[in-house]
Amino acid sequence: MTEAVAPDRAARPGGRWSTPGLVDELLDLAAVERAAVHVAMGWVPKVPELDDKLALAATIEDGMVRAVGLRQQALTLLERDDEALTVDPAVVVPLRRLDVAAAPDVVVDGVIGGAHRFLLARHRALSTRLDPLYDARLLTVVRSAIDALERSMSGAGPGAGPSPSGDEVLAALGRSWSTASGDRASAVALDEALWGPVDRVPVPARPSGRPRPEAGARAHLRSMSRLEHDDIAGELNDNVMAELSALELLCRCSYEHPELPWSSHLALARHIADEERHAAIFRRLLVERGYDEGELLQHGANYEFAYEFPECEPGSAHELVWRLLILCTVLEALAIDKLPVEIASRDWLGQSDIARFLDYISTDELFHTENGLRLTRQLCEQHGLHPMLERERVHGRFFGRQYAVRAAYLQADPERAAREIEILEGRDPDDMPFTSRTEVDLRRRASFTDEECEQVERWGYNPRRHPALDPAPG
Amino acid sequence: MSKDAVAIIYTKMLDDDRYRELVADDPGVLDAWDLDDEERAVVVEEATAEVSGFAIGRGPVMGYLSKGPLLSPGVASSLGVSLNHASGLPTGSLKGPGFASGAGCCPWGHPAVPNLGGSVQ
Repeated sequence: MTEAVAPDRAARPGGRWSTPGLVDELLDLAAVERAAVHVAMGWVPKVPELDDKLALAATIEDGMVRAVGLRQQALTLLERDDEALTVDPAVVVPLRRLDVAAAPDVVVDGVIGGAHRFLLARHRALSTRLDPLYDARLLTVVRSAIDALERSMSGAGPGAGPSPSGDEVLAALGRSWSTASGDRASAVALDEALWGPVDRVPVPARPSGRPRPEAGARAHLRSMSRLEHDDIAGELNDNVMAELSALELLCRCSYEHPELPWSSHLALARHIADEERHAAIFRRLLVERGYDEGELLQHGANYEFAYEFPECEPGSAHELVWRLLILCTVLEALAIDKLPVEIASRDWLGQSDIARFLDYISTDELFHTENGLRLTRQLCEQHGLHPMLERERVHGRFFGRQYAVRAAYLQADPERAAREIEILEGRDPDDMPFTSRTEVDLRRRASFTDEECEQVERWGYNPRRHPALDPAPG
Repeated sequence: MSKDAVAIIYTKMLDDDRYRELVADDPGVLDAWDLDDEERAVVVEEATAEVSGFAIGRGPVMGYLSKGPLLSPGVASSLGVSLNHASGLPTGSLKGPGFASGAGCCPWGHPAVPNLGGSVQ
């Protein structure tokens, strides 16, 4: 008996699923969401005004979560056939144009007032066509997207209101969508709908008119009590700069490497969202205490020191590994060691608002470090690199740069150098009775190995040695 | 183990130029190590190459080490220290007058600021 040929399920009257062309629509939506995130990632370091920079950064994690959710729903309907994850590349062309040609304010308006408005309309339209039982899980994703996009559009923040740039992107996306739908002849793999970096950004943009420290100066030099206004303002402001630098470097790590797995981009997006929130909270503390950040110093030190290295080919996986190693597994891991001292000091001095915020940051640092360790271990394995060796090398290059610029600054003005040396080598202005140690237990929870804890111990940042690093007697 | 041995020999050559010259002039000194022919060849080639500056760490040994299993953590860390030392880079926190041992280590260490848009080599 001959087996009958099963009817083509896609040719079923009304289509295979509750909505005609449902899978294609999900994939095209995922592509637009992913492309909007891609543009935002690339532009965050290039946007000078901090409100705009943080507003753009605040779109990234939600957008990436939506893109991943839509992709996953499509993959489910495709019975997990990765090769069937294809899109019409035309749907993202307006965002590619935005990335290449636009100015910072145009990009902020284009992403938030253009792409997000377009996506909100598409998600709303899709939600009305879905079946509440067949598509229950997809509806959860789509309704969550509608909620998030409505929140993004409802505020009075940058890009949320109507603007010519937003209207232009909205209209262009609409035109691309309508011409792209239906015909999949020109479809490409979803991952290939993104484009490579259009530029390199060695120096992040900062607001015009704000002062910048002289090269080689320490970003904040404590010469008075932590209770003094000038010290609080300087400390909080420099923390804003550090959070911005981390945020911007992570954005470029994702943007310059679209070939990374979606899970890696999602992990970076979550980290980025934390840094954006940290910067926003430090700025709120400045405002609450009555400081005008416009009068405070600005810089992008950690970004500039960690963006590129003479040992690494620009744009290479090696460069990416070095960026992530120094930011996530050196600087942020050292924050795990230093934060207990900072928190104790602020509590000791009665600065509860600062101490409470630092407590929140401390919990985030464990994720940032664990995330960085995971990503760098994966990348090192793929590219024949040794994490311990590469961490050692990038540590040397990063701090070698700081040494060079600081030494030149000290030599340029011996009297100034003498004043600063007196401050640095003098007593702590508040006689704080706390010192740091390599926080072995916390680092282990973030997946540091004991050998990696010994590595940081040898660098000598922490005056106290953790007892767990010494073998038990007997 | 022999991959670790290559890394250890390279570390010794970075730390002691006389040992590098000895390997270059008399490869027989490598008989004390458990190396296969390929490993012996890359070590000798490394010993005879003239490298300095940013090229340190880009020679045949590093190419060989990029293949196969990970180095032991202690061996990898020691090699990194020696590469940095040979390149004139710090091997620990910045210390000395005008520096603080925790300087620039994290947001609370407050980095020294680079030249805006200038070279940060």
